[in-house]
Amino acid sequence: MSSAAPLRIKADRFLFPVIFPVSADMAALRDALREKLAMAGDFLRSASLVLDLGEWQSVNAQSFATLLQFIEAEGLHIIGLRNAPETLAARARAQGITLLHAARQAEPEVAPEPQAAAPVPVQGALVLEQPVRSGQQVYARGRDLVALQGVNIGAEVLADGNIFVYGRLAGRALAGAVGDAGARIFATQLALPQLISIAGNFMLSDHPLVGQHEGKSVSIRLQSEDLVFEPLGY
Amino acid sequence: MARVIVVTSGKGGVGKTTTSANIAFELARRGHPTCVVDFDIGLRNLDLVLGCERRVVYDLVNVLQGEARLSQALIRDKREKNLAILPASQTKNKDVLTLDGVGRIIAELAEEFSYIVCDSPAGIEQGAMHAMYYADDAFVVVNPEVSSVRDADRMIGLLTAKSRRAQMGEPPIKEYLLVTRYQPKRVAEGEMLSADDIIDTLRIKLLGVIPESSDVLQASNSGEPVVQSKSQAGEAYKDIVGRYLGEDVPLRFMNVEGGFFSRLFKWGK
Repeated sequence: MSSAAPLRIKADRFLFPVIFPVSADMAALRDALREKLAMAGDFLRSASLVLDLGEWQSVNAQSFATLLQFIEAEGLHIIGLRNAPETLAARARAQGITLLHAARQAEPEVAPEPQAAAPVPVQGALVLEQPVRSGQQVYARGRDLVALQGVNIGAEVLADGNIFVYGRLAGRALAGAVGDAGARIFATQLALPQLISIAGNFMLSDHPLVGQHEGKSVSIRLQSEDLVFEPLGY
Repeated sequence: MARVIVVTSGKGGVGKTTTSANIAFELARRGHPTCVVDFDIGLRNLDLVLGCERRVVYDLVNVLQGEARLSQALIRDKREKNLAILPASQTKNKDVLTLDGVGRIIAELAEEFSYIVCDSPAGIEQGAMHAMYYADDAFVVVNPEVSSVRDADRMIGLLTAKSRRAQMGEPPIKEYLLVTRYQPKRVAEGEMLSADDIIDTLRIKLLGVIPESSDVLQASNSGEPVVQSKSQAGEAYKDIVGRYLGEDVPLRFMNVEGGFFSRLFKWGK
């Protein structure tokens, strides 16, 4: 076939991380952003992001400019703006930022009665190559989380999807963070985790089931609001 | 290129100052020009351990505030010509440290010395951040007890997130584990965490264990580094420096001593 079309146009979906500022305190926002970046490692380094102002408590031209400035200063690039008020929209467009619509127009109303929103985990997993240490919190939004070096006591991992822990799970693990009851937690060594939660149904380290499986490889899933432990392997 | 080593821990009283003094002394003894800097402002101790307390005229804070030149504040060790000490201030507040100021001093030290050992204050407060910010290598000092390990874990998390290397996106700080006050007998009896337990949690390279010993206390009190003596702790610190410099030194002092009675005991088995 030599007659390959020189150009194609098709509808395609892209996935960009979306940043949702909430607080009106600029210093706090900056600190939180730096902390997230430090935690995300290479994943967010010089990433292109969408900025969503829907939850921001401090929507005005000046703080918007400051916010953009320090996001750029952290090496991130804002390519799109969502849920912005009219006043800021014009300013953003002038700076070459695309305006995006919040509503998902691509999907016509399929289910007139939406069930409890259980977002399906999207592409790939967030893979943590370093141990998750005391005081750290990592959230895999909309996807799975894989911890290759264990989750230490005092650390917290959250995922909208499944959580896989290779090594010791001693901290807190919350799978199905936005309500996916099908999410599971896997750990190759359950080391008396401080908290295990799937879709909000949780168990603390003092629960007998947690104690019984200490040191073992387990898969944990939800069965009618009860956490069920099953051995892994063999 | 000078290498900046920070000696750090999550908790106080684990032996950071003793460790700083001894590894600096041993590096110098092996012929590397070494400077050891006391960042524990307000609690000057390093000069005591190295036995140069009475020779302190100017300190780190004087240099930071421009009241003295670096060369005036550096104390040359009388025993080891390759070793210099930059003492901390006992009178000043630790808030006088700034990242820029510390950076300038480290840069100036790097012109003369191959190794700059920073003795950090304990914990995750600002003073400790200043000491670790410019580090290339971190010696994380831990006692074989749960609280010490847990605090060290938090500290390593900060090292990986807040150091200059992390913020500039350079290769991360190399972290090494030192277990001090180790008592193999109590480990064997299950009263103390074993080195393996600690490594299991912290997941960083073990550089060595220092056995609990009254020699360390005595050496600290008399201002003579324990690496100068023939003691086990001194040998352990020498091994650690050797391993850090890339030598292949087998781990020692991890097990109950093979004395006469223990050999007899093994025969009995």
